[in-house]
Amino acid sequence: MMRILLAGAAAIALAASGAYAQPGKNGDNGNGPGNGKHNNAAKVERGPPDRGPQRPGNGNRDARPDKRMAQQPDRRDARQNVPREIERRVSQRPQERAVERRVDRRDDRRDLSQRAERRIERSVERRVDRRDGRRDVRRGDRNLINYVDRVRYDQDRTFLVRDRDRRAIAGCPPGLAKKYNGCMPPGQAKKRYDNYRTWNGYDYRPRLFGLKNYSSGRYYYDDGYLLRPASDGGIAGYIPLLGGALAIGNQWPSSYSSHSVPDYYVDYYDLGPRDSYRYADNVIYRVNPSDSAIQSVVALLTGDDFTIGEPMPSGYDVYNVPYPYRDRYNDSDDAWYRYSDGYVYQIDPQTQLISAAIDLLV
Amino acid sequence: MTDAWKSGLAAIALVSLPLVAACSDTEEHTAQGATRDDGTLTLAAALGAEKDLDIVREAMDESELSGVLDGPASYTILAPDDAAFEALGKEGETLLEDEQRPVLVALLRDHLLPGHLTPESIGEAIDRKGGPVTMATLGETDVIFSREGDGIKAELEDGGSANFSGTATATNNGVVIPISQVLMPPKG
Repeated sequence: MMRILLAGAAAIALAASGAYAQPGKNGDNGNGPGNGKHNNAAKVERGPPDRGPQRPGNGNRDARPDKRMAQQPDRRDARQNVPREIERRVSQRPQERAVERRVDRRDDRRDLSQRAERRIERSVERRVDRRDGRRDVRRGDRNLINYVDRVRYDQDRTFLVRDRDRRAIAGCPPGLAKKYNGCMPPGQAKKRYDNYRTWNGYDYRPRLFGLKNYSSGRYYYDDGYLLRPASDGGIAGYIPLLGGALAIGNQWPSSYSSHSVPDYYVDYYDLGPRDSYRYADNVIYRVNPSDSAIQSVVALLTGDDFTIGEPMPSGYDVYNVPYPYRDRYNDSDDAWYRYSDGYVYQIDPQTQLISAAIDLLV
Repeated sequence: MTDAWKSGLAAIALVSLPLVAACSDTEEHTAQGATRDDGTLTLAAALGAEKDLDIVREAMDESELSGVLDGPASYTILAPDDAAFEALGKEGETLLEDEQRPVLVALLRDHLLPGHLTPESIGEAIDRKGGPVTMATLGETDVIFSREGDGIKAELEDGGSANFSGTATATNNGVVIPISQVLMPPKG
């Protein structure tokens, strides 16, 4: 019974992703994805109106503003060929093509890869057992590609969108307020921090620290925080920094908002219950549930915007699929694969649109 | 700077000895320059096993990012060799101070790329495209790869550049690619 249900779920996932697949490819695939920085006009165009919930906007994110590549041929035409596309996917799985092409020279590596994959699967099974009933993790055919349902995928990505809507926390950091017996009065911060604006000629700016969701402008640095000066010479706001105020052992700042991540990420990064992790500014932390002390940095995310049916962001010119999946998802004339933040994405080589997201938990 | 970086490296070397020995068989059969493939290692273990990457490993520990290198996600680290860190001189002297740890973290994030990239796959991408290729980093900016002579050059947008040096190691959660310089971010 369970096998039938799993097969049905897989078929639904396959059909859902296939709805955004592209027609068969006969053209030259010589160029890898890229060139996005010269083609930002494509960002404006959206998918067809009947393709499900629309992706929320990018908020005030100012990073890589020109990451989208040129818009490609009409996706509506592509969907007319859905049945044939699904059939092709099932009958010509990428891993089969890859094995045929590489069997002679990669036997040893494939053995290692398969061992690593089995380790991951066992790990996933253990995690799922602990989380019994919370999420339907399919454990069927290892060779079946688990295309992620488009609606679920869009919902799962909303935490990234929400996280982009950030600004410096208003007021004075708790530590500094204590240090100086209250937040610095007008004029004092500027006087104190004139020498705290650069490190060896590098401005203390949010982007230097990988923080892409904050406004640019002048900042000071002190005590593990970026400080936003006020117009009156005091401190208007602050940003806690990874390795500084967000160092291991420090308590999570209650004023620094964190977001829940989707169940897929909880399982993929093995995060445990909601109170045992924090996510903010593209970093996942493990924290002690009892006192919110930071225990480790679990993962760094790119936060890059991968939307099914849209062009791939720039910055993914090179094949980068993780080790255990490289034989299964290998670039071919029919499909390219790229990895980002826990998913492998299938790219149409001709249109360079993202045709599917792939769940790596099975 | 040099003294600061090298403090504690003797202990690291001792800890790393078994790992180096464990890898020696694989290394013997690996052509110089080709990526050494060992799916039994994690990124953290591979860094610990490389004799010329002691400082970047210490920097990862100091930055508290080492948990990332043992995690389930896959990353490629462009790992400046020891000489590269020592060449920072006075500019880098403060990086190991607790006060400047966020800067060290920021610097290292520019050396981390999402996923599993080997020098071979980077070279293939350059050849396929007929010119430089771009990859996202986990830091401020993208990194651009291009051919330089027989090797590959990595360059941060508006920032520093380095050449691939030594042998890359492919592990089960990413790749270590030694490079000749620390990739400094754009100034300003």
